[in-house]
Amino acid sequence: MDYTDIRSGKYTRVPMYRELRINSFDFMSLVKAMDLKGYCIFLESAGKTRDKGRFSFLCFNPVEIVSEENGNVRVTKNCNSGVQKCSIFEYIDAKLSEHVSPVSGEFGDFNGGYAGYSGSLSAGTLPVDKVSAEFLLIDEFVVFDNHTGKYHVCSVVYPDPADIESAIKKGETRLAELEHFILDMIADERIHFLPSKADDVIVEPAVSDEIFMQYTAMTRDKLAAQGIPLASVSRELHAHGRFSAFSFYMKLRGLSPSPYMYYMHLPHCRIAGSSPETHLKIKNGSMMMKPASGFTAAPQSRQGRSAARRELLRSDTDRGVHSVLVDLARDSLAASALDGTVTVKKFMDIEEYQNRLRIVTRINAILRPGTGIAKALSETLQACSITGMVTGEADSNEKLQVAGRSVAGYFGYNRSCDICVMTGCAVFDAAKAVIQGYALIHASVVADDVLLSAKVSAYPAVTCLGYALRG
Amino acid sequence: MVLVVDNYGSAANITAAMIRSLGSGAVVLSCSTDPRDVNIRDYSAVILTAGPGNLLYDALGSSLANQHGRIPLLGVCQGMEMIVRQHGGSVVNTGHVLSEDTLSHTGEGLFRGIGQRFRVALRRNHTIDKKNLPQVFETEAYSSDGAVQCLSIASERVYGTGFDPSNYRTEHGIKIFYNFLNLF
Repeated sequence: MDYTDIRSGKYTRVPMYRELRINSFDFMSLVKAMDLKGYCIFLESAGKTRDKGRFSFLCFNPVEIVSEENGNVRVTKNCNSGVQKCSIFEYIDAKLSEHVSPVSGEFGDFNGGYAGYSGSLSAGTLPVDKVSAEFLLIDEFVVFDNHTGKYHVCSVVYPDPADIESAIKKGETRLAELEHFILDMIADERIHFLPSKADDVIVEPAVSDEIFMQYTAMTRDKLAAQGIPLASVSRELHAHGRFSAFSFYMKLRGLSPSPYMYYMHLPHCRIAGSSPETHLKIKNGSMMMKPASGFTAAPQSRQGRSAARRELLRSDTDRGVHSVLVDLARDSLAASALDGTVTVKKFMDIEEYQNRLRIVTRINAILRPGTGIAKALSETLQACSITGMVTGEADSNEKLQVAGRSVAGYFGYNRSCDICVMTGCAVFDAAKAVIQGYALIHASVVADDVLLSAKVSAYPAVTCLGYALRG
Repeated sequence: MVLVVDNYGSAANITAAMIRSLGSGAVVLSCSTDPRDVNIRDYSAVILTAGPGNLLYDALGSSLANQHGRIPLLGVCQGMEMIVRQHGGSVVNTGHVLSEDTLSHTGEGLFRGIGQRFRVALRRNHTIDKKNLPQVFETEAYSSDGAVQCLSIASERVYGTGFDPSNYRTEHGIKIFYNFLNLF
C-alpha cells in the first residue's frame, strides 16, 4: 500500500487497507460470523452501474456506540456509559471535527466514521422506539468493490507527526491480525445458498386492509383540513415465532436487491432492509438529495415502457407529491447550503428500478463552510420536511400511523455521507419482528387516486419483506 | 436585515437564501416564536412564508400581519391570508389542490419588468374571498380562474401573493423578491 497520505503529515486519522483473498460466499459467511460475534453494520449495494452501488462495507469492532433517547445522547465506550445533553447530530459533528482524514475514493467514500440509523422504526410497537437514533463509531471494516471484485480490510491509524513510521508499523501489524482473524472466522462459519426450510413464523398485518384504508382516508382529510401538503403513512406487519434476522436479510437480498441494503446488529435491535432512495449524499462539500415518488410497473417492451413513462408523468397525484418533495428538498438543503447554490437537475426524470418506474429529481447544493454534515442531515429531518413528518394533530395521533420516514447510512471522517430513506425495513428484537413500509400521501381532490397511491406504495415494501420473513 | 417567518412550510430557508443572494441579510424565525421576543425595529422588511393553513402556530405571523405601514411586509400564500384576515377580510376553502397556472397582472409593483402570463405554482387549499375583500386592498394579479393571486396596500407597504415566488415551478421568483426589496 502507498503510505503517501500518512507520510504527508496533513492527516490525523488515516485508513490503511490490505487486500483479502476471499470470495462472495466467504464474505457473506463473514457477515454472519460478525453478526454472531457482536455489534456490526453491513451496508451493501446491489447496483451494478458506475452511478450507484459500487462499494459495500462490513463494519465491525465498534469503538463507540452513540444513541439518542429523549433528546439526549448516550455514549458507550470501553464498557463505560455516559449521557450528554445535545442532539446526536451535534455530537457526531463535534467528534468528526476532531480529526482530518483523507478523501481517496479508491476504496469508496466511507473511510470510517459513524454508521447507523435515525428515526422511528416501528411506530411505538417495539421498545426500540424509545431510541430515536443509534450509530456505531467504526475504525475497522471490510470493503468490497463491485467493479474490481476485490475485498480489502481496513484499519484506521492516528499518526503522531513526530513518529509517523511507528503508526504505519502499528497499522500493518493490526491489518495482519485482522486478516488472520477474518480468515479464521470464515473457516468456522459457513453459510449455504441452497433453498432453506421456511422459518416457523406467523406474519400478520397490524391492521386489516379496510382499517388501513380508513386510516389513510382520515389522514388525507386531516391534511386537507389543515392545509398540510404531504405526510407519510406506514403499513406494518407483526411477526411471531422462530426466525433469524440474518437469514431474513439473506432472503431479502435475493428478493429485493437494491442500491441501498442494510443489516444492522445494534445494541437495541437488529434491523434489515432495502431501499432504492437516496436521501442525502455529501462529498467534497457537494450535497445531493434525490426525492423519488410514484411508481408503476415497467412493461417488458420498449414501447410499453415509453407509454408507462408518459402515463406516470401524466398522473396528477404523482406529479403533485413529487412537486412537494422537490420543494421540501430545496428548502431542506437551503438550510445548510451556500446561498444561491441550490439547483435542480433533471426535474421529474424517470428511473427504472426492479422493473418499476419512479419519478426522481436531483437537487444539488454546496455545503456552507463550517456546517457539519450531520447538521446538514438534521435539517432534512425537521417537522414538515421531506421525510414526511407533519405538525399538528396528524403527527400526534398514533392511530393514523403517520410517522416521519427513517434514514440509514454513514457519516465519514472525510466529511462524506451517504444516507438512504428506509422505505421498508424489518426490526427484530428478541421476541418478535415488526415490518414497516412507508408511503407518501397528499391531500387532493382526486381522493380515490390518493388512497390507491398510498396503498400500492406501501404494499410492495411490506409484502416483499413479509415474504422474506416467511421464507 | 429581512425577517423571514417560517410557517412550517417548504419555503422559509429557500426564501431566505434567495433574499441573501440579492445582497440583503435575512434571518429565519419560526412562527411559533413568541412575538414579545422579536423587535421589529431590527429588520428592514418582513416576509411571511407559505405553510399549512391550520394557523395553529401563527403567533408570530399574526402579530406581524398588520404593521400599519411601519415596515414593508410581504405575505406569501398563508402569509397573504393572515394579512387579509388581519385587515377584516376572509378566505374560503377550495379543497386542496396542487397546480400550475399563468397570471395576469398589473405590471407594476412586484411585477415590474415581468411579462404577462408567466407560470406560477399554486397550492390552493384556500383563496381570498373577493366578496369580502376590504377596500383598502388593491388587486395586482389574477389566476386564470379569476382568483386573487396578488394584492397590495401601497400606503402601508404591504403585499400579498397567493403563489409562492420561491417555488421551483414559479417563474421570475427572484425578480419578484428583488422588486419587493426595492419598492420602498
